[in-house]
Amino acid sequence: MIRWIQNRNWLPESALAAFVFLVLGGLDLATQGVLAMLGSLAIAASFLFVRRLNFLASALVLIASLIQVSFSLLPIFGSIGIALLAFVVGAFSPKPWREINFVVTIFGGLAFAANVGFNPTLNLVVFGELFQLDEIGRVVIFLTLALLALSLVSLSWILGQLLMTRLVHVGTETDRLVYEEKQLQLSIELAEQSKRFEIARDINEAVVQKLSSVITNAEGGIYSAKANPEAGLRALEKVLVSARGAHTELRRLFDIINRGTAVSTKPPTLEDLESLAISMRETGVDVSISHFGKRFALDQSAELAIYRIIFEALKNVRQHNPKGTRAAVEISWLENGLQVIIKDNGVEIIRRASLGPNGLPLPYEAKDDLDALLEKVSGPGLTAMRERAESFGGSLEVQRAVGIGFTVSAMFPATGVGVNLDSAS
Amino acid sequence: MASKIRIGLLDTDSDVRLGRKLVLSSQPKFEVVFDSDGSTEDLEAIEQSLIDVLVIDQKLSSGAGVSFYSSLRKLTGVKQAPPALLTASFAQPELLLDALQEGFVDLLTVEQGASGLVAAVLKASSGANTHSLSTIWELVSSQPPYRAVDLNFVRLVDKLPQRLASTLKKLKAVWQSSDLAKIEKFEIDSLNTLVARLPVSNSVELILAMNRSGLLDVE
Repeated sequence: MIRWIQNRNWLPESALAAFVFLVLGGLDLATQGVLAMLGSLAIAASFLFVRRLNFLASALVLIASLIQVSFSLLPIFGSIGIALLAFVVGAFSPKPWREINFVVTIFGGLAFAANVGFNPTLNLVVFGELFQLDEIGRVVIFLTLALLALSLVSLSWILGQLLMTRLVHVGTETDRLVYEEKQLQLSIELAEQSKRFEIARDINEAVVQKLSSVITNAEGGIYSAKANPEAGLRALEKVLVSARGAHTELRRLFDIINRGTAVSTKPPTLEDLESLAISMRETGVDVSISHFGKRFALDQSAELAIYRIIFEALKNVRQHNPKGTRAAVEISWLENGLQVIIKDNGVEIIRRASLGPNGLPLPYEAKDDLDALLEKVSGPGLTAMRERAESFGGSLEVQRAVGIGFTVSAMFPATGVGVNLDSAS
Repeated sequence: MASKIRIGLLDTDSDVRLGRKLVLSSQPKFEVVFDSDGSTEDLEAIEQSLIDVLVIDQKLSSGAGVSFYSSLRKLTGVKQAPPALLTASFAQPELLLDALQEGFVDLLTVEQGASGLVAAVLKASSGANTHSLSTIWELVSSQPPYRAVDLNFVRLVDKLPQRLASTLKKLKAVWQSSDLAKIEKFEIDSLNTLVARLPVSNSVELILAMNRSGLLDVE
């Protein structure tokens, strides 16, 4: 459920906004008329901007408060939506709007308290008798309600944050089950591999022993052949027997190693990219996979190399960027080859998180542009990716997109990736 | 005509034994008088076979070659056990150090070939040192420090006459200097006179025993 909400940007917000508007706005229309309903509409609309264009959410809450105060309305039902809004803001708004909108929702709560406390049309009825409230009484009511609103909004906001932290770091029940299943599968594979490794080690030892025998007997034959040709012949026979034994052991080793490959580690293909994207999303990187052009068949080893390049690039994105970074994998199936582009917005996310003295994200300058042009991005992981591309006649470039992130671009010629253009899939 | 060098071969693999036997038997100076898979019963047989040089593989039917030779030395006494060469598939510094500490003359691998085997047997039978102080120093330095103080050995070293003790002092000074040029110049054969007075079979074993007992440490 939470993944569904995370992966859809407008639908869950629209549903919430519709609920607040139709239910609470409806009650306001019925009790106080169109103006009260407009206040509820503003609060409902603010739900639409908790993830994007966050300043609009703040503006709408302020507008709702303004409507209530300016037109001396009685407290509107839509105000209940402010507590709900604080929860959603705490859960889904990015920094620093999460904090800004929290302050704004508190302001909305205070406006509600002020509207109740200082509204001249509201008086206290005790046991059927009407009491005219004096200034002190109104201040006491305002302070009580303000404290209540402050507590409620803060609690909602903290609960929203707690929910998101728990989901990111602990995961849902389904996540845990999937994780446990994966762990179980991995431990079974690991146990199988360990056993296979033990067998391979034993066979390797036997091969070494046989080869030692081959060498020693061959040397013995050479040394003794001059004086005693028969002894040389005997040594030669032993060499043959030992060499055959070594060959048999090697064959067994070959079978063991290849069986392991076939059973537990089928090489991944580009079809597995969707699974990769899902597992990356679980770790906080929002990955999207897009294909352009007419797909064609790839050579198996080339497909594996391309998959590995994408995997390494996404791994780098996850390793060097904060949670919430988006990564787009674009695979273009061209007439003369294949182009793979992996781009992320990690730098942008970091910039947004660190504000400058004016409260805005730190700007970048012309020098940054120049540096990005001249900079040669390097590292052992990138070298390995480049070598993988080059082994199929391709090339790989890494470029910094100033203020946004990095772009890895790999190009493979049709001849290099062994494509068969006739067998288009 | 000088008497032949009597050789004993121990290896679990009979084919390897045959190959080595052919190599060694082809040399006029050598005579293979004993070959076996290295079971514990061989210990007494070796004691009675008047063997001049033992060629022991690390893989024996009774266990590791190093342990087998250690048992043999306990049975016959350190001085009475014939000099031994250890054979293994590959050279490993840990194994070489273990072997030298147990009194082996050297470690031979398949890479050294038949000529290496012949040369090593000749050297072992002559009682010459196969390693220089610098190679021992480098070998020890490459391995994690290991201390196992043999109180009997330390007591015997303390009782050495002044003349012999001064040779040890010189060895200690050179060893502690960690100066490879000085270490290379040190004559390891100068320790041979000490070997006769201590429970070790050669100068290399003496150096390693001193190191293991902490007698070469900085005070």
